[in-house]
Order: sequence, then C-alpha cells, then structure tokens
Amino acid sequence: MGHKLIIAALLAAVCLPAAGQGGFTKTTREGDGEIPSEAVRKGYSVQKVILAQMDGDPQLEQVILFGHDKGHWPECDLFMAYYAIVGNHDKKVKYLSDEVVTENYNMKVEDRNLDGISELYYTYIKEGSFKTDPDGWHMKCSHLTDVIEFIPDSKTTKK
Amino acid sequence: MKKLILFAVALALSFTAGSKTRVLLITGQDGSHWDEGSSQVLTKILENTGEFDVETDFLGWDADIDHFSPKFKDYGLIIINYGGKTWTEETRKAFENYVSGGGGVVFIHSSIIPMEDWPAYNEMTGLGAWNGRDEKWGPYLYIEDGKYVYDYTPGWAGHHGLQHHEIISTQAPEHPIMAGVPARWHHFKDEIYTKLRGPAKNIEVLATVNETGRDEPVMWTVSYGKGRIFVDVLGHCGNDPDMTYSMTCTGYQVTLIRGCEWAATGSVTYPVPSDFPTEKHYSLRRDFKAPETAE
Repeated sequence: MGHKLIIAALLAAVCLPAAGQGGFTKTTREGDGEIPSEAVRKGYSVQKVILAQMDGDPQLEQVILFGHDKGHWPECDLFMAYYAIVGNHDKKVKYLSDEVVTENYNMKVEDRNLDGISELYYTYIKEGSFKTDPDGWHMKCSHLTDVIEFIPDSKTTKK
Repeated sequence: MKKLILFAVALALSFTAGSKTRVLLITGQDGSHWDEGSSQVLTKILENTGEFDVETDFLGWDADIDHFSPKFKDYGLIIINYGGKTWTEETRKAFENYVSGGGGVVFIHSSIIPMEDWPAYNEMTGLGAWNGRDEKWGPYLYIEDGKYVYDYTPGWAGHHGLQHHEIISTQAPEHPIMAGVPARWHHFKDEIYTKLRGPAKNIEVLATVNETGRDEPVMWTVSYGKGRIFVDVLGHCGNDPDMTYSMTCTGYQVTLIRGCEWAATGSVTYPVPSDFPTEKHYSLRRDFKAPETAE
C-alpha cells in the first residue's frame, strides 16, 4: 500500500466537539454481503457505513461501524462496537479496531486537517470507568476518543 | 379499661386487614424479563398503599404446569405477569369462569405475549404481540380523531425499539382509572410496545403512545362477561442486566394502583397525586411508595 496506519491521537475527553471540515466523505449504506467476512466478528452486525478516501489510493474505503447491544441502564443504554476500514473495490481489510463500549453508535469521518485524507473519529467509554450505584442509577464514566488516520510514509507522523 | 382498649385496637386492625383486596400474582417463565424483580416491585407498589395483600405464585422454568391449579375464586384480583407455557384445560376453564363471573384481572407488560393458542386469553388481553400472532388473531387497533380504527392489514403483531422516555396521551379522561390524570404526561424510560393486534372486543383504550404516526394503545380495559380487565403494557423489567427502572415512574405506579382498584372493585379511590408527572417533567417513586408530601 505504501502507507502505514497509525492511531494519530488517543484523547481523553468527555465529548468530542463535532467541529472541523466535512471533507469529501459520502454517507451510504451497503449490505453485509459486500463486506469481507474477515471484518465481521461473531455477534456483531453492521450499524453504519461511510464511504470515504482514507489513504490516498485511487479507490475509496468503506469505514464500517459494527455493534450490538450490551444492556440497558436507567440513564443510558450500552453497546459494544468496533470499526473496520475496507477497500471499497478490492475488499481488503485495512484496519480493525479493538472492541469498545459506547453509549451510542458514533463515528465521524472527516478531513479536518485538510490533507486530502479523511480521519476516523470515534468516542467510547474508558475501560473500567463505568460505574453506577447498586440499583443502576447515578452512572459515571470517562470517555476516550480515538482518531484513526492513514499517513503516507513520506510524511512526518502527526500526533 | 386496658383490656377494652386492646380489644378495640385488635378489632380495628382486623377490620383493616380484612378490607384489603387479596391479590394473586402469577409470574415466571419469561426469558426476556426479570420476573422476580418485577413481581417484587408490583407487590411493593400495591402493598405500600395498604389496600392490597399480594401472594405470588412463581412458575419457574422447571415448574410442572400440569399441576398449576390456583384457586382463583379465593382472590379479589389476579395479576398476570407471566410469559410461559399455556395452562391446562382445567386451569384455563377455571380462569375463564372466574373472570366471566365477575373477577378482576390485570395484565402486565409482556403478559400479552404468551398463551397465544388460548382464544379466551386473547379475548381477555384484547390485543397481543409476537408468538406468531398475525391477522388471524385480529386487527391492529389505533385511535384517529377520537375514533377507534381497526386495521386488518396482514402482518405480524408486536414491535419495540430501544427503550426511551415517552409521552403518554390519556384517551379516556372520564374513565375512573384515568379521571384527573393529565391529558399528556412524561413516562420514564421504558420498552414501548406497538403494532399490537388481537380480537379487540369489548375494549376501551385508556392511554396511547404515538411512535409511528398512530395513537396506539398502551393501557386499556376489556369487559369479559361480568369481569373487569385492565391491561398495562408499560412497566418493562429488564434482565440485561436486572433493572426495574421503568416501574419507578410515578405515572406508571399510580395508574397501576388505580387499574388494580378498578379491576377488583369497579371503582377507584387512589388519588392522582401532586407528584404525578406532567408533559414536561417525569417523576419517580424509587422506593415504590408515595412520598409523604404527595397525597
């Protein structure tokens, strides 16, 4: 590919503002049949697909949010989620995230740094931080946001 | 003199105990819900009023349904919070006789799902969901411009999405259960059932939600012979994990109490309290009883 994947930033935040440029991403939905089986983990199903230029190659990539329910609390619902980046034509799996816990299915694919390559942003609950009282009320947790970006080898890695 | 006072107190206590409605709560065999938790909460809600004395018949997964044969006629009210196997013919007939003879019944949330193969049960619940129910069980029912619409379009019965807060619309403000209840009120997070269908005979819709552009029933009554039936499909009690938060809603608890009173006696004495939710604000009774300042 001539590119390498990095996690550009791992940010602790309560909530990531939806700022930045929209880039040239296009929202779409495609069936499971067009997604390579290597990208699909047991028990998960596709929640959202965004088609975007993620690495500078001529083909676009599918950025896929997979998820399933993880339970219901008085003040929130929880979901398990992970993210995949797949070549739209060659169907190669270019990135698979860890599985995370989240209160909502979220992902943003935007070219905020205006380098012609979009980044994947997603927010989730920091492992071990979710707490409630014995009856499930007074939920507390910390959030993290991961930013996933392909950076060409010739360029300096950005953080 | 001391003996006389003790006698008077004992008499007063026995009168109070005797005036309570004796309730049989039938529960169990619902894999999608936490039966024990919901039954404990139902018992607290009712017994905390001082009006009800609740006995629970818990049918676990290994219960021998062939020997399930409660003496319905010993009770002033039967609450069905059950999701399992169809009862025996003898028990079904005894229940039908109890209700048609003037007994009171309350169906809670997912109790409209089981026993789809028992026609009288479908008539008693009026509307049902899932378990293969479709147009053969009866129409969908909704309210449009104040009139009942019976929709015979083919299709499955039963739908719910993610749990959420919901605005409940009172549809029968003159009915004893709903008299004094706000026209619209905010119900705390719950699993809202829609697309219900069934015989829908002798039914009066008390309250609706509008999830899909239709005002669909969430509380209703059914007349079955001389019997009074109150159905309330609110009050989800999840097992993922075990949680009773939907039942903490003050509106849920108050309408449940009033529905139980009405089913048991035909009248309602429990007031609509000052802490009843409004359209803008939900209200919770997390210890399942009225705060001292509410009545």
